Amino acid sequence: MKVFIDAIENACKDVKYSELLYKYKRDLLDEMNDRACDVQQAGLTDEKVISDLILSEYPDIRGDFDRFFALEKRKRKESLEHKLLAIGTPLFIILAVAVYVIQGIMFDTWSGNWLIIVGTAFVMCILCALAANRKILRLKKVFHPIARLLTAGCVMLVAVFVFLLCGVTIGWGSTWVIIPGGVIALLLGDLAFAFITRQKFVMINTFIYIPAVFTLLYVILAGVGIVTWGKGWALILLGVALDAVIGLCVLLNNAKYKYKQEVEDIWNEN
Amino acid sequence: MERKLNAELWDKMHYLFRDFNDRMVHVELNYDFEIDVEALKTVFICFFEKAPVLHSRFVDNHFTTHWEVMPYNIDDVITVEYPENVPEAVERFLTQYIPPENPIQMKVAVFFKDGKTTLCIVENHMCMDGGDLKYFVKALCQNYNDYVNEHISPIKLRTGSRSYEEVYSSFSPTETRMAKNLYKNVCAKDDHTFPLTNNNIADVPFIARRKIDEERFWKIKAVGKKHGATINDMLVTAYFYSLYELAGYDPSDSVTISCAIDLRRHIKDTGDMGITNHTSFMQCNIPERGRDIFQTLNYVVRSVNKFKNDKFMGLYGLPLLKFGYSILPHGASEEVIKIGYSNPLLAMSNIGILEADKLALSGHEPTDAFMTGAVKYKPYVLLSATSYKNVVTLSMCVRGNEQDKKIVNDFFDLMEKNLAVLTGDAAE
Repeated sequence: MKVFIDAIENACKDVKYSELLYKYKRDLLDEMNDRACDVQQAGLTDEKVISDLILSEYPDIRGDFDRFFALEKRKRKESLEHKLLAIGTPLFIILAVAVYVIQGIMFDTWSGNWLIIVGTAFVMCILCALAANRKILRLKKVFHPIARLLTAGCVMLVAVFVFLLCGVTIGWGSTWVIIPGGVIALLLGDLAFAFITRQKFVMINTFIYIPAVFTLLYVILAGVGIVTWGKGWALILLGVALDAVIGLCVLLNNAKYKYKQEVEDIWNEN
Repeated sequence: MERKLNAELWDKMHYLFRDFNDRMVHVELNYDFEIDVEALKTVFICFFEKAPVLHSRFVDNHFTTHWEVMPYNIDDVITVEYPENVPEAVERFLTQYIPPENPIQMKVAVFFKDGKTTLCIVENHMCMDGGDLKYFVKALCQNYNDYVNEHISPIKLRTGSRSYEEVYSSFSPTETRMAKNLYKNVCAKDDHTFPLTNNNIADVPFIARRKIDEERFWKIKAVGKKHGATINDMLVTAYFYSLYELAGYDPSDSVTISCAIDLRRHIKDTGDMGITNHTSFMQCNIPERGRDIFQTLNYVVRSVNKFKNDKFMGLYGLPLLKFGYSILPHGASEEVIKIGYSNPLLAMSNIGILEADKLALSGHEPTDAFMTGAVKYKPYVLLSATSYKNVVTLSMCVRGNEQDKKIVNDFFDLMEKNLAVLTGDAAE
């Protein structure tokens, strides 16, 4: 319908011509014409009413274009990133293998150099996980646990790499503490993620994670000899006590929002 | 492409009520001229496009629920007939049932006879409640007039969110948090029933009505004012008192009637909301019948005022229901909610005033107008009340038999008698 073309052209008259602008206008016009067909099939025959009705469904064509433009730009950027990741991952791994082999042949030191390949593989995994997370976080909250699992996986990959690096370079003696340290980072990271993204049951997470973190802290500190195995378990009690304090604070805070009906006597409008 | 709409909390709740009533809301408007059917069709198409839930089917796959927008033709929505017997045609039309799986959730009939028109509307309560249907009908008349008189496109219908959370939109953040912490099961726990016959597969829906004339209306209002009672309180009092007489409850029994309340009272501006449900119930309880109807009235006023003094009137069950529907798949949620929910056996819905000037079409005000709630399945009953031009229409929609019809009419006789006692026109 010509009225749709006029409305679209009028709304976008100050926008410089581009392929994106044409695509937007073309798609919008097709959508409007489809809607017009729908209402005609429903039995509406008055052309003025059809056009007014359809146009009322698009009250901000110019604003919609800005949003469409931003979305398309983001889509193109992401598409480029995905292509780079898809092509770059095998290339990067081949490059890492080549560096490993050349460095091994040139300096004749093979032990420990395998970390180059492992490190590269871990970095690629983390990049892929981060790219996936960005998409997942735009979905409904029901899908967010997947992002939490991927984030936890990334943290553990970093911990494992640091563990391997320390083991190879300074020896394996007490490096095992890096693994429980990684789990602590994982739990705290997950808690931060849950708070920032306002996940459900975040307080339940808190109450479980705090004693777990203190238990792992006890294992690490006792493992490296800072506290004794015999007395250090008091840290676990400290975790439980911290839980109790947080629980109490939450209860006190919630009590502020408890409605006491007898206090209110002003709602007499009816 | 398939278009889906979110199934809101109240949509799901009314779907759950399928065991208790047929979920249809009914409107009847009578005009003394022949309305323009083509213009009416145009208005309805525009309204259906503005409120797509009206041409959607409800999908329940046991895990989730949603509305799926369906194609339709206006001729499937609006029926035009020239019946010999209009009341019979109206009754037949109004007592129909629209399944939630149907692609259309609202049906309209236009009956012409002797230059007069009867406009009837039946819609699924899952789409909107009486409050929004009243708004819908007023908008229908306004848009019809604008279109017929000035050829203004009939597209002035509210659109926006259908979420139950809109009831919190006018609250401060602290009040919102308080209201969202009201986890309280507010179901009626009263076994007193309306004395209808037992269920029978031969039962059919019927709508029983009784009018209370203008003279009595003003008297009720005046007497109510004297006792600090609203018209609604007076009607509830007569309802209680008549029930004691009809069902023969022990006068020392405590009885509860659930009264529908419009939650829009909490919303300052409904302008950006879609058509939806915002109705809850308050439990009006009396400890005993009382020595006379005036003592019953005192009990009613006391009970109702307790609710009216509550800032969060009607908002108590909502967080619990939301929680119930959030934690489990839909099928399981329904089972869990059914455990805690008990449908009120005795209920009342005061739909309120139908404004004649706002229901006028082409300058003709309706000669009569009436709205009523769903057809209840025995033993549940709902007394609906609307007033038009200061004439109150009481109605009860029941799926029953001729005997039930007689019982309901006897009940209306008692209501009339007790209202007369209240207004001093008859002795007890």
